[in-house]
Amino acid sequence: MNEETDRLLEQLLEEPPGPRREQMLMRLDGDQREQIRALLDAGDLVWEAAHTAPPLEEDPVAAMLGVVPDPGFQLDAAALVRACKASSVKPTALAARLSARGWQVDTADVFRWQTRAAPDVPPALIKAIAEEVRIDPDRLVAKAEPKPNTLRAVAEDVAATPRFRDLAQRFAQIQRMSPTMAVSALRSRMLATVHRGDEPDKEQMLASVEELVRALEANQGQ
Amino acid sequence: MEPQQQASKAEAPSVGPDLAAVYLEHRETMYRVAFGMLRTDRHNRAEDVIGEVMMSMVKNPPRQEVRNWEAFLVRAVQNKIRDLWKSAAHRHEQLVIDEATPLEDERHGGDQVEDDPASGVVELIGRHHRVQTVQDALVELEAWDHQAAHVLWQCAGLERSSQEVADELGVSSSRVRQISAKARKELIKILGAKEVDL
Repeated sequence: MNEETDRLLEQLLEEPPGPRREQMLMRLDGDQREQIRALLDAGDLVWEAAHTAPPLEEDPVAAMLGVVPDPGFQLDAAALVRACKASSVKPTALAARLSARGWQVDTADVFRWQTRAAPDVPPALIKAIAEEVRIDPDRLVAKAEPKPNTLRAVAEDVAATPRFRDLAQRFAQIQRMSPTMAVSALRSRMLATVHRGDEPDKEQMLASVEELVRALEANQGQ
Repeated sequence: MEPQQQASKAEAPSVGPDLAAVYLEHRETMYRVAFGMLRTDRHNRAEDVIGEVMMSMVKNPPRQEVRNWEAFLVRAVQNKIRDLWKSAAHRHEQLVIDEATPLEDERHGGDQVEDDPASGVVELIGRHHRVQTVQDALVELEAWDHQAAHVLWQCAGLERSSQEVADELGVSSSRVRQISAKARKELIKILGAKEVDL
């Protein structure tokens, strides 16, 4: 390789995919081009490997959909046993129905939920379970004490404000979910969102929730 | 009100899986597609796009049975991003859609989502699975040469300039580029052994 090709290769390795990179590649001869393309493709795959979904607890979309487990909204084992009994739904049937709804659940999971605390069950799954055993989701929930954490403490402060309660009410209407579940979803979303940047204060958290609810309402009005 | 009564009111015949469950299963693919398409887009964020896609699906769930949810969600993300690109603000800034669009065989509309796994979507999903193999290969690369793996991750993965990485390592930028090229070659070998051809 001559000096010019070396320089071109150096530039190519720092060029993202696109027409500019393709134009640069065209300046190489056939064999070289294929070799360099393989190197670039390897780099692109590494880029893709570095750009994955955020961890579940930091994913604001997951929080909004209620798939982030919430220490403040946990499945109550005893309540689940009672609800299954009252609705005559056996663990095998419940597992099968939840699987049919797209949840990765087997009978062993249901037995586990019935015998001990299940902090890994997210609010949306609790809602699905409640629908299958025909009970209000809030009645399947055991309120657990969240671990003290500065950020969580700010979120708890925010959740206690009348403005937040009003927003949760509006969010519940839009999402057709119970107010308790709406509070849980919005609280998880606040916590997920702040992982993106600096720790916000109470007002910033409220403003972000308000912005979300307004956007959803506007969207619904269209 | 008795809980049973309350629930029966909300109970509706379920026509498909819960969107929350579907999202949980396919969010990784959705993010990859969004990140890939938005790589050179400084205006839109993957999580905002995916949030909008899911919210609109919660409001208007698909009316027909979805045979392939992964393909359906990939399509939805692609359509959403293309809609954003077509918006007036982006036209004003002269962002040329095709410059950042890797697939040529797909329509640019976003008004309707299909779950037909057309070749472009299949290719994307296949690539997503290939990236999982790359993650395993990177572990092997790390064992082969820690510094080379680090340089490749910093330069190609995180798109840091060779100068930045060079300053950090106390070497010249051309040395960083050499190491990066060496790491890429080794990665290709490792991937070849895993039957992934580039």
